[in-house]
Amino acid sequence: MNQLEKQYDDLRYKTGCYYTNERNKQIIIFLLKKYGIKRVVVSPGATNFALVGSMQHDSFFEMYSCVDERAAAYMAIGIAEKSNEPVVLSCTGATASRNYMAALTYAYKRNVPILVITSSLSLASVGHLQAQVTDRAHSPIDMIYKSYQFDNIKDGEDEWSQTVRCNEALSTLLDVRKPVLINVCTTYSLDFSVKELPPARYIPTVSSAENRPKLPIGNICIFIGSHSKLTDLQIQAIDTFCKNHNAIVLCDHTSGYNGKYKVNMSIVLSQEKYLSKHRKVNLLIHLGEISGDYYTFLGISPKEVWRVNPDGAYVDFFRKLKNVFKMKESKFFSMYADDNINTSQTFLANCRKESEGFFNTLPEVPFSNIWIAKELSSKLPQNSQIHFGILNSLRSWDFFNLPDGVESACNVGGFGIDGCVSSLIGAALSNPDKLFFGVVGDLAFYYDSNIILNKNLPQNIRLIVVNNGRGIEFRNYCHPASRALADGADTYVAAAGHFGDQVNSAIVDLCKSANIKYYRVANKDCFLEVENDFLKNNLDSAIIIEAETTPQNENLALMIYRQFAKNFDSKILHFGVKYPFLLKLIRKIK
Amino acid sequence: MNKSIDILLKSLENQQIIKHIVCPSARLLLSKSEMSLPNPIDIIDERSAGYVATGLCAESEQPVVIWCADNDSYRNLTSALTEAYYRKLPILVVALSCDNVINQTMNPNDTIRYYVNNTLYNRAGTEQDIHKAIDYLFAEVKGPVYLSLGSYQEPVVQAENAVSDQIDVTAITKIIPSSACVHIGKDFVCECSHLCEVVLRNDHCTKDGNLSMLIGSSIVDRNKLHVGIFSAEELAYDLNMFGIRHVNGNIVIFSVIIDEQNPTILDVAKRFGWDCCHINITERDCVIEKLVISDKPLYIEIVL
Ligand SMILES: Cc1ncc(C[n+]2csc(CCOP(=O)(O)OP(=O)(O)O)c2C)c(N)n1
Ligand SMILES: [Mg+2]
Repeated sequence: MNQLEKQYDDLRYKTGCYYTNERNKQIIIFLLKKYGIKRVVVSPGATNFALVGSMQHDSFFEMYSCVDERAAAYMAIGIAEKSNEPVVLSCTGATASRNYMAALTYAYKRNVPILVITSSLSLASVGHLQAQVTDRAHSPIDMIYKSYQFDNIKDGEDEWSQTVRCNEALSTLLDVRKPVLINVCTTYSLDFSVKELPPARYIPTVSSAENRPKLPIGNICIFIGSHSKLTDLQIQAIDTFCKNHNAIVLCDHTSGYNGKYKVNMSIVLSQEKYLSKHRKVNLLIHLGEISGDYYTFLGISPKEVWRVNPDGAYVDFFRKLKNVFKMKESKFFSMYADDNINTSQTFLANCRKESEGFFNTLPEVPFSNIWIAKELSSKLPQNSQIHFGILNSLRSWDFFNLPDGVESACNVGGFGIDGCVSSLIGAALSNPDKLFFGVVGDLAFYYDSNIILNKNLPQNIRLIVVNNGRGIEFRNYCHPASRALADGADTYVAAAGHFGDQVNSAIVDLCKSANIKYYRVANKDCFLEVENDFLKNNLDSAIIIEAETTPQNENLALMIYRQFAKNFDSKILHFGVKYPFLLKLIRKIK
Repeated sequence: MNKSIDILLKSLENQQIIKHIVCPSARLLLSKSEMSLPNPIDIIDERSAGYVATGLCAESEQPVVIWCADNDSYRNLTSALTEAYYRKLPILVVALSCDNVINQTMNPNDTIRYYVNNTLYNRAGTEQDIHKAIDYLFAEVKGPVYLSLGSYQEPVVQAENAVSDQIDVTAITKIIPSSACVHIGKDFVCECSHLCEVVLRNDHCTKDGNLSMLIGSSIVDRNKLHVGIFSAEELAYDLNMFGIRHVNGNIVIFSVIIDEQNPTILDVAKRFGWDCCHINITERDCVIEKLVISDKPLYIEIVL
């Protein structure tokens, strides 16, 4: 035994040979055991030694060695077909994985669940003439159902992502029963001293009532992102669930929910000097798609999250995902309707009380998008609809409730400012007997302004363009761009000074040619003068109000709203602004 | 192709799918092939058309059809398809084959949810494809559906046809000083041998961006007069560029009006500080002296 061999021998003697310390493999191994996937066919090589070296010390795994990867893959198919269980394939770099391809194409067609775990040097080494490294970024679509790249883990973000994706990979494998690929990287770590596998978050897919998890005790809230109008049946199911479980529904103007358990916590949770104790919930049930309700989703603090969606996708928006329910919402809520019933409605009552308290004491704000929202939101006529521009308009209006019977929409799918007016017009075309309101910013309006050149525009539209001469979004006092660059953010980030720089705005000309009634207002009084006409239920003349506001007033309004309540000392916060690294440290420790 | 369109329209009607949004690129192809759609909604600019469809679809809670050419202009639908993807809106995108078909085999993941026939060899759109597309519109998890119609080997519009539609603008180019940099829009031809720098956009198969490219060039060489000869439709695509703060006095746009006229673009340009005028081609000599670098960009509407 030479010197080096002896050194390693000593190391092994001291530490023993157990699991690798490479975290990406620990996650895979831990979750394979959780999902009960035990059979592994291994082909020889170096990049996979951390994986197979760990597995071979765990009696849970049933392992087979096969030199030729092509034969290994077909062997795995045979095992999977016979046992009716998924099988893991493991190989190294070089051309090893290319030999899997014929067999995997066959497995794909025949729905054989194979988890292909290829191993590699770091992803960054691809394309630099590294010996044995091949590019596995894309696979043929009729061979691998879904593929994942697990690079060496460098931080908590990597670990979070790989944990969720690994759960998704294994659930998909069990559900779809076609080959799934995980390409996992290695640092060739020599350290196999980990005796007990550190756990990884287990996030199963639940698709039937029999194996449903227990509802946790404590406050429950349902958070709905953007959603098509919920049907009466869906609303009924949600409301019954809330009634029986002391739950509330947090949603905004894109959620399509107008049931009895809705609470608007946007203004409460937006506070910078006040912390609501209702932000803490034990369970958050996440429905719908993307949400623009920033204050609410940034403010709420759930212990665990259950995602419910027929698509079964692993969406971990709050990073607290515990279960994925691949089913219709109505099924989910009726499934739990009668489980540990708690009919006290204290949570609802307390949240309502808090939010109403805020509404009843709202301070006066200067002429701005927020002021317009406050002025108009309660006056929108029955059976109308309102569309909001991305993003300042939506956020301003999310502070306020709309009357029952008023629907609302916003392009929060792609979050673009490029089609807000076009979408409003599309909606208006679909229903000529209904009024369609819209509130957009100047950039959003001009971006999409050629829609006004079309002939036969619908007349049932009422649009407010809040013209503040820029994307005020980026000049809000709380926006990082404005904090970092101050007025310097105007030039490029907020794109100030285009489109006639407020004073020479051409909206009046566009309106004239399209026969749209046009008003320009620059203060509250002028706005109030035209308001009645704007709200009138007259379906045969479109109206656009151009509301000219100043960046100062837009900011002041927002600041007044976000700082008017106080229940903790803001010194801590200021400290955090001054010494951001300390804040980071505190978060990390937490 | 006409046969496929017929079958598609019948099948859609059977399912009560009746909203058709037509992009300009598809309008051209449909009129060449003499096909008509029931109650079409024509929208200028594919991007707006896409968003009109998302608005319509979300409000009506019914599938909506967008008709578009399967060429570069299709890429302008991407924003609205992204919107539709994340909101799970059932929108059928009918991509009509034509010259310059694009490669649809690899696209952003979060646009179309269901492809029916996007590979290079199966794009014709058989009856089976059509039924598959309609089924996708009613899938449990909804989203945009891609259906290609017409084989790319026999596009609806043959190249020769397209050429015959081009309009001669020599009458305009004649009065342009030879030192200018001239950009000529998609549908125009001209005699321009006296000009030292000419950029023809007839290889650009969509109509967006021509004004933007001219403005881009004008910023690089401010001491050179930049002249654009564009159709009103091309300018409509780039309408918001009239308001960009980087335009200088070295730009002259000829907006060529053939039949209809609509004063909107002129009014908008004027508001944004452009010098504007409206002339007949017979009066062209009166603008010659204005074809120099000045302190404002110039917009000339010219009726041929
Ligand atoms: C297509 C697209 N480009 C850029 C953005 C980034 N963006 C988000 S909000 C915003 C500013 C919009 O300004 P405006 O419409 O004037 O509204 P304001 O914030 O001033 O109320 C921009 C550029 C986007 N969402 N979509
Ligand atoms: Mg603005």
